Amino acid sequence: MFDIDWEQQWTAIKQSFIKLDPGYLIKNPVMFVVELCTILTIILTIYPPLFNGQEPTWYYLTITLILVFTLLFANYAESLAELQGEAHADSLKALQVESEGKRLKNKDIELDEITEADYEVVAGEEIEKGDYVFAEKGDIIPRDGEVVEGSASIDESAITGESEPVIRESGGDRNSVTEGTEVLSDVLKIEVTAAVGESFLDRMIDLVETASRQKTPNEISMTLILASFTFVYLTAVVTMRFFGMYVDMNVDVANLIALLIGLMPTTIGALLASIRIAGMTRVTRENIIAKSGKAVESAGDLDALILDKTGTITTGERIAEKFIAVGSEKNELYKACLQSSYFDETPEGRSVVNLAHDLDVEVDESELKKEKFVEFSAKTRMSGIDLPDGTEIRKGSVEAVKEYADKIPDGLTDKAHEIADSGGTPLAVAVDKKILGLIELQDELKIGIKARIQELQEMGVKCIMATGDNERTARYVAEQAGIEEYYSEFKPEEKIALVEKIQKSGKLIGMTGDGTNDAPALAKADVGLAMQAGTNAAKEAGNMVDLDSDPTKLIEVVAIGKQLLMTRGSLTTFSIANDISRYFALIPAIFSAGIPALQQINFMNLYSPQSVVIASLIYNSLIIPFLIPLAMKGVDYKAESSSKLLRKNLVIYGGAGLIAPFISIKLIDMLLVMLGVF
Amino acid sequence: MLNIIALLVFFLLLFTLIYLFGEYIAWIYKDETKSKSNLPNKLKFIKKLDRPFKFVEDRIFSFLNIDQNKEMNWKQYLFSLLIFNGVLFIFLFLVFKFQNILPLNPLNLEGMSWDQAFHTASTFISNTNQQHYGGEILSYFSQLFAVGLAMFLSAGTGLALAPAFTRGIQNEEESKLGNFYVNLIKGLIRFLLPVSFVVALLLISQGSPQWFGGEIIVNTIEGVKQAIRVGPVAGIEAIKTLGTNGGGFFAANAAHPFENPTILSNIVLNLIMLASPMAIIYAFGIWIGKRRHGVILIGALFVIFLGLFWVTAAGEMQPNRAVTMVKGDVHIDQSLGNMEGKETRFGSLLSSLWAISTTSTTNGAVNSMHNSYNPQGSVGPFLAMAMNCLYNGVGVGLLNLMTYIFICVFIAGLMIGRAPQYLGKQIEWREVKIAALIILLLPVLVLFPTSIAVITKVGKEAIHNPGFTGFSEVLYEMFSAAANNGSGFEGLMDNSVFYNLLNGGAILMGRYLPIFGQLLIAGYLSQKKIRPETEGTLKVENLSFLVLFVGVMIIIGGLIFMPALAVGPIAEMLSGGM
Repeated sequence: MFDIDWEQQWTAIKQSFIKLDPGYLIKNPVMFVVELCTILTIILTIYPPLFNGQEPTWYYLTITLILVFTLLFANYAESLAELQGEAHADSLKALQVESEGKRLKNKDIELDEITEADYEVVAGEEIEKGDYVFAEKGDIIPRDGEVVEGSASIDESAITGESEPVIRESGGDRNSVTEGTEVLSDVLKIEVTAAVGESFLDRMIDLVETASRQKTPNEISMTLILASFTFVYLTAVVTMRFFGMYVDMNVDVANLIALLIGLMPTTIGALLASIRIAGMTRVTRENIIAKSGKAVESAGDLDALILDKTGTITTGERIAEKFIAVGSEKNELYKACLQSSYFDETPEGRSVVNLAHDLDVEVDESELKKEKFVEFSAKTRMSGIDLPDGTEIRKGSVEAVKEYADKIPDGLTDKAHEIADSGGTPLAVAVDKKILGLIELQDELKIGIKARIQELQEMGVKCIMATGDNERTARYVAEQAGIEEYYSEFKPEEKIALVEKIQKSGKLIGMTGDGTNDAPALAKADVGLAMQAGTNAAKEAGNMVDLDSDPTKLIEVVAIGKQLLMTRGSLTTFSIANDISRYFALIPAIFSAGIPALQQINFMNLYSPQSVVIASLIYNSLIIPFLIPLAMKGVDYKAESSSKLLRKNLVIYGGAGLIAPFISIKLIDMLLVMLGVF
Repeated sequence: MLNIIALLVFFLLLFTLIYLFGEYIAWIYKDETKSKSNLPNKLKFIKKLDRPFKFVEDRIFSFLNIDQNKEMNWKQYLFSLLIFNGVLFIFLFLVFKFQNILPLNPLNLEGMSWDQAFHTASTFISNTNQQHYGGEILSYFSQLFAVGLAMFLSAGTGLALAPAFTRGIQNEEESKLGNFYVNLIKGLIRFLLPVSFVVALLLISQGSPQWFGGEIIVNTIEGVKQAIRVGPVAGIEAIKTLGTNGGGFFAANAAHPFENPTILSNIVLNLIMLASPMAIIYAFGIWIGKRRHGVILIGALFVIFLGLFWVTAAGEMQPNRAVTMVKGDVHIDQSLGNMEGKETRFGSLLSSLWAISTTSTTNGAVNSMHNSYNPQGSVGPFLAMAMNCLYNGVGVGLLNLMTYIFICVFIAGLMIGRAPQYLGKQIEWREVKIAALIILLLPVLVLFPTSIAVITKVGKEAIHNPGFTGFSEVLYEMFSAAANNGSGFEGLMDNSVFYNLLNGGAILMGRYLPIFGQLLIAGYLSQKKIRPETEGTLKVENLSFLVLFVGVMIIIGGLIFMPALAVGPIAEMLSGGM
C-alpha cells in the first residue's frame, strides 16, 4: 500500500541535520531567524538567569527541543523533495554506462563505403566534440550528435519510455541522436555535437539538480516579503520586552520567542523550497527538461499558446473515414479500395484496409500478389495493384487519378470539394481507368484535445493554431477543436513574426517546435518547448525540451506552472491567517504577570501561560510535516476562471489558516494537561 | 434611531462630496495622468473654469520661470520635491526660531527653542501638524507665512504625488511622470485655494474670526478677565481640514469655539476632512478608466472605517467610568455618554465620528480630547493610525493604499497561479521589496521610539497619567508622528528636547521614506509594458480580493500593534479602571 523508500527517508533525515548549518540556512531568512531563536533558548536552558529568566530549566529545554524539531521538519521537507527530484535524474544517470563508439578515421568517407578498417572502437569518453562516429544495428549511440548521412530506426525507450522506435535521418528536422539510445536497423554517420559531460543526459541531470537549488524570481519576491514580515514581527516582539519593563514585569524571552515563531510565516518559509523542487520534479516526471525554474513559472503565466495543427491538435495521421461511390456500385468500390491498399504499408493504406474490414468487404486474396503492388511514386502520384487478369486498380490524389482516367463521372469534383471543406483529404479510386469513387481521409483530433483547449481558454490562456494546411482544412480543424484564432498556409519562418506580434500586445506566449526554422521563434517565445526528436538548434533555442516529442505536453506544463504558483500562494495565505490565533492565545499569556486583566482575551480558556506557549510551538512545528504532502503534490488544480480560483483558495487556505491553529492549540493544550505535563 | 438617520445623511453627503471632489480633481490632472475618462455630462460646465485658471497659472509659471512642458522621471520628480520641501523646512525653522524679531507680532511673543522649531518645522512641511506647543504662542507672521503657507504647500506636495504615481501605472515603457511644479501649482490654484476660500467663508458665517485684532479681553462668568487671541482663524481652519493638516490655531484645536463654532461648522469640517483624501482615490479610478475600481477601494477601506467607528462610538456612548466613581450625593447624569473632554455642542457621537475621521486620514485635528475617552473608545483612533491612517493624506493616501495593494496582488496572483499583476503592470520582486519595506517602516518608527520613551527617565518624566493610560499617551504620540497624523492624545508633556527630536525624526522619516519608495515603484512601473486583461487575470474588483485586502490590512497593519495596544488601551479597557 504505502510505498516507502526507507533509504530515501533515512538520507532525508540525515540531510535534515546537515542542513542545520547556519551558513546554509541563511538563504532562508525565516528559518534562519528560527535557528537564531533556537540558539538563544539553548543559552537560556544552560543559563536561565540571562534576561532574568524565571522559568524552570525543563521549560526552556522543552522549547529548545520543539524549535530544533521545527528546523528539522523544515529541512526534512526540502531534503525529501530534493531526493525525489534526484531519484528521477539518477534513473537517467544509470543509462550512462561506459559506452563505446566507432570513431571514423576519415570524416569524408561515404556511408556505404565504411568497413571495419575505417573506424576505431574507442571508449565513450575519448570521443570529442566534432568527431564523426559510425553506428550500425545494435550499437548504442555514444554521445549526442547529428546524423550527417543515413537513416535508421532507433529505440529511445531508455530515455523517453516510449517503446515505439523512431526514425532518425540526415537533413530535415529529425536528425539528432541522443546518447544512450540504441540503433535498431540500418547505419548512420553521426557528427558528435556534445563534449564529454555535456551530453543531453548530463545536462538533464545538471538541470534537475541546479533547478532544485536556484530560486526563481517569483520565489525571490516571496522570500523578500516573508523576510520583511519576519522583521516586522521581530520589531513587535522585541519591543514587548521594553513595554513589559514599563509595567514592571519581566517578559520572559522564551515566551517572546514563542510568539515570534507563531507570528512569523514559518509554515510557508519551511515549505518554500520543497514547493519549488516538487514542482520541478513534476515537470521532469512528464519527461520534460526545463532549463530553469523560471521557465516553469512563466508557463503558468502564459496568455497564449501557438499550437501546431499536426501532431498537437490532430494526430497527424490521416485515417480513412468513408468510401464514397460516385456513379458506381458501392460493393465494387469497396472491393477496389481494399485491393488497392492491400500491400500499402503507409498509415493511410492501413486505415483503408481497416475501414474495409470494418465494412466486411471481402476479396479473393489469392489474386493479390505482392510483386504486383504498384508503389506510390512522385511522378504518378498514385499507388495500386495489378490483378493477374491484367486489371489495373489505382488510388491517388483526385487530380492524379483524373488525369489517369478516361472519363470523369458527374459529381466527382463536387464530392471531392465537399470532403475538402470538411477538413478532409479525398483520394480517388479507379479500376481500369474508370473512376469508381472517393476515399475520404480525415486528420483525427487527438483524444481529449478539445476539452483541454477549452480548459485553457477558460483559464484565460488563448490557443492559437498555426498550420501549413489550406484555409478550408484549417478552419474545419479549428472549429472542431474550439479554437477561434488560426493561421492557415502558415510557414514556420512566419512564427517568429507571430510571436513578436503577440508579445507586442503585452502577452506572454508559449509555443512548441522541432525544426531549425522554429528555433528563432522558440528562443523568442516566453516558453519554448522543443521536441527531443527535433534538431539541436531547436533544442538549444527552447527553454524546455520534451523527451517524448509530444507537443500537446505544452498544456501540461502550463498546468504544472500554475499549480506551483498556486501552492506557494495558498500556503502563504494559510501562514498569514495563522497569526490571528496567536495574538489571542499568546499575548495574554506573555503579559499574564503584569496585566492579569488581559486573561479576558484568552477566550479559548487555555490552561496556563506555560501550556499556551508550548502548545503554540508544538502546533507550529507539527504543521510543517503535516503540510509536506500538500507542498509536494501541489494544491488541487482545476481549470477555473480567476475569480473562482481566488475565492476557492482563499476560503480553503485562508479559512483553514484562521481556524486550524485555534482548534489545534486548544487540543494540544488539553492533551498536555491530560498527560499531566501541566 | 435619530442617530442612525443623522449618520446616514452624513455619509450620503460625504459620498456626494467625494463624487464632486473626485471628478473635479480628476479633471484637473486629466492630461498629467494620461487619463482615460472624461467629465460626466452634468459636470461638463467645470471646463469653463479652465481658462481663468490657466491664465493665473501661466503668469505664475512664467514668473517662476517654470517650463510647463519639461517632464521629469521619478528621480527628477523626487529631487524637485525634496529640494522644494527642504527650502520650505529651512524657512519654517528660521521663522519659528526668530519670530520675535519678525513683523506682525503685536503681543511680542518669543521665538521657539531650536528643538521645538525643528519639530514644528518638520511637522508642518510633512503635513503632520503634530503640535508640541499651544497655538497661541505663534505670532501672526508665523501663523500666516509659516503655518498657513506650509499647510497649503505640504498638502499641495502630497496632492502632486497622486498624478505622478498614476502616470507611472499608465505609462507604457516611458519614464516621464510629469512635472512636479506644474502638478503642485495646479493643485493649489485649482483645488486647495478655491475650496479653502469657500470653506473659510462658511466658517466666518458661523462665527469664526478672520482678522488681526490681537486679543479680545472679556469678562468671564467667574468674574475674571480673560484675554482671547484672535487672528486669521477661519482661513487657517479651512486649509487645515481640507489639506489633511490638522494643526490648530488654538491649543484646543477644533474643540475651540473660534475654530469650530457650531454643529454645522463641525459637520462641514468633518465632511471636508474625509472627502479630500477619499476623493483622490476616486479620482484614481477615473484616471485609469475604471470609476468602479476607485469606488470599490474606497468601499473596502470604508468597511474598516465603520468597524472602528462602531468600536469608538459604542465606547463613548457609555458613561464615563471615572465619573461614576465620584463619591457623595453628587449625581451626574451621563445619559449622553462620556462627555469628559468633549464639547457640549458636538456630543459623544459626533466627537467619536470626528475622532475616527481625523485618525483615518492623516488630518489630526481634534474636536475632543482623546485621552478622556473611555478605553474602548480610544482603541478606535489607535487602530486607525496603526493601519497607517486608512485613507491617509491628500495624495499620499493613494500611494499608501497602492503599497498594500501591491502586496495583496502578489499573494492573490499566486493563489490563482499567475504572476502578480495590477492594472496590466507586472508586480515583480523590485516593487514588492519596496512595498514590503514601506509597510515595515511604520512599526519600526512607532515601536522602537515608544520603547525608548517608556524605559528612559527623560521619556517617562513627560508622562502625565500613571499606568496604562500613560503608556497610551506615549504610544499615541509616536503613532501620531510616524503615521503623519498629528493629533494628540494629550496629557504628555511633549515639548522637550527628547520628544521634539524623537518625534521630529519619526515624522520626517515617516513622510519622506515612503514617498521615495513609492516614486521609485512608479518609476519601475512606468517602464513596463501593459498586459491586457484576460479571463485568467486577477480581478481586483471582486469580493474575494477585497476580503484578502482587508485581511492583510488588518493582520499586517493593525494586529502587528496588538502587543503594544495590549499594554495601553486594551489593558486599560479590560482592567476596568481608569
